[in-house]
Amino acid sequence: MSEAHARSLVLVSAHPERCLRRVTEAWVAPPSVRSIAVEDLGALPLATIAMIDVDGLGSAAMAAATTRAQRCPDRTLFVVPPAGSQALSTELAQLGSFRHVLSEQSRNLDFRLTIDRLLGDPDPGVQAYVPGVDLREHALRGADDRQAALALVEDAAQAHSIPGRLTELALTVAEELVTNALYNAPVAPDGAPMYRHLSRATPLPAPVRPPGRIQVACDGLTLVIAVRDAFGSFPLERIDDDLRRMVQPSGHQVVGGEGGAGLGLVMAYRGVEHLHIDLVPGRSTQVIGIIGLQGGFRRFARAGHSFNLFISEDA
Amino acid sequence: MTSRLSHSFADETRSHASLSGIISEDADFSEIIAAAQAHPLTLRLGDIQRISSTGVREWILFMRAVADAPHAVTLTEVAPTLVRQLNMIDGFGGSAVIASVVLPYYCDACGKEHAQVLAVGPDDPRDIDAHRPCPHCGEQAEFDDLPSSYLAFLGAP
Repeated sequence: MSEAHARSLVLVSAHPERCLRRVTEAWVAPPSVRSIAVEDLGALPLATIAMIDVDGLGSAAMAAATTRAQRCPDRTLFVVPPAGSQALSTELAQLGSFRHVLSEQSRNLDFRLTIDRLLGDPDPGVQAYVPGVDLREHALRGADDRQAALALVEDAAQAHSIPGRLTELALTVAEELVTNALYNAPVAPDGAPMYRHLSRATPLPAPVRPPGRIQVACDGLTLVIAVRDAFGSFPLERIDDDLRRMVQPSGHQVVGGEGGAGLGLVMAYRGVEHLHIDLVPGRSTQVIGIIGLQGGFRRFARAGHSFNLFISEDA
Repeated sequence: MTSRLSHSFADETRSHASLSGIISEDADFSEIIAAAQAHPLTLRLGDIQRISSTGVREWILFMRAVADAPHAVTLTEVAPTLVRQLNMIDGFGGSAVIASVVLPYYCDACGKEHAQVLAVGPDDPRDIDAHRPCPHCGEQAEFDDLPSSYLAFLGAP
C-alpha cells in the first residue's frame, strides 16, 4: 500500500458532510478523507478504504457499491442508518458480500477502532473496547463451563444494575457464543468437526483442547463479552451466505436435527450493538459483542447493529 | 439451563398451564402436548426469562406438534423475549392463538422496569401507551421497545 493510500478514506455518500463530521468527531488526528461520486467507485484503487453510506443511495449506486464490495470486501465499509430502517437492512442483506458494517449511531470509539483496523493498525485487543476496566475471564473446556461463563455476565449485571432486558440480551449472546466455542468450533487435526452433531444437552465426551476462553468487562456504560476458541474453524465457504442471513431483520428459519439450530450467529448479532469477529483460519476465532447500557432496552432497539469480520493469517 | 413447567387443570373442559424460566435445548413440552390432545389449552408465558437458539427449535417443534392436536392452543401474556422471536423467526407462533402480550416499561427516574399486559385479539385496539406511571416511584416510565414494530408479528389490523 502506497503512503498516499496508507491512512486515507474515501467517502461515498448522499450526505458527505454528515460522514465527514463523524470522522472528525472520532479522531483527534483523523485520517485524510475525500469524497467521490459513486460513479467513480470503479476507478478507486483497491487499497483505499471506501466508506459507503447507504442512506439515500439509489439502486444504481447500491449496485456499484456491491461490485466494489465483491472486489475487495476487506476494504469496503458500509455505514447504515439505525435498525429502524428495515428496508435498508434488507437491502444490505442483498449485497453480494460484505465484511464491515457500521451503524450510523455506533460509538465514536467503535467507529475509530474499526477504521484504524481497516487502515492497517493491529488488533487492539478486547481491552480497547472498555479502556480502564478489568477483564474477568473463564476457560471453556466443557459444557459445565457454560454456567460459569453466564455467571460472569450475571455478576457484571448485578454489579452495575443493568436493566433486566439488557441482561437477558447479554446472557443470550454469551450463551450462543460459548456454545459455539464448545460445540461448533472444535475440529480434529484433519479438519473434521468433532462435536457439531451433538445435541447441546449432551455433555462433551472430552475436554476441549486447547480450551476456549470467555472474557467479560463492564464499566456501567458498556458491556463487552468476548469469546475465543483455538480452532479458527469458521467455515469460509459459507461466510457470505451466513452474513446475509445474519442481517435479515425477520424470516429466519431453524435447522432441524440434533446439533445447532442455525440461529446462533443471528441471535448474537441481534443481541449486541456491535459484533466483531477476528478469524485466523485454522488457528483461532474471537467474537466480541458490545452492548451499550445507557437508556435501557429502547435505546438499544433504536441503535442499530454494527459488524466487522477480519480474516488474517496472524493471531 | 432448564425451563420450568407448571401445569394444572382448571376444569374438565380446558387446561391451563404456565411456563417460566429459560427455554433451551432440554425443554420438555410433552405434558403440554398431551394436555392439548385432551382439552383446549391456555398457556401463559409471562415468566419466560429468555430463550436460546436451540430452545427456539424445541419451541417450534412444540408448535408443530400442537398444530396437529384436536384442540386450540391459546398463548397469553407472551413475554417480551418471545415477542422478539415472533417478529424474527418464521413459524414461531405456529397455529396458536395469541391472546395477549407483555408490554415492557422502563423508568429513567428510578431505573426500574415494570410490565403491562395488552390484549391483542382480533377485536382489541392494540394501542401501546408510550408512557405509564412507574409503580415504584410515580414518575413516567416509557415503553421499553419500538412501538412501531413490537406487534409486527400480528400483521396489519
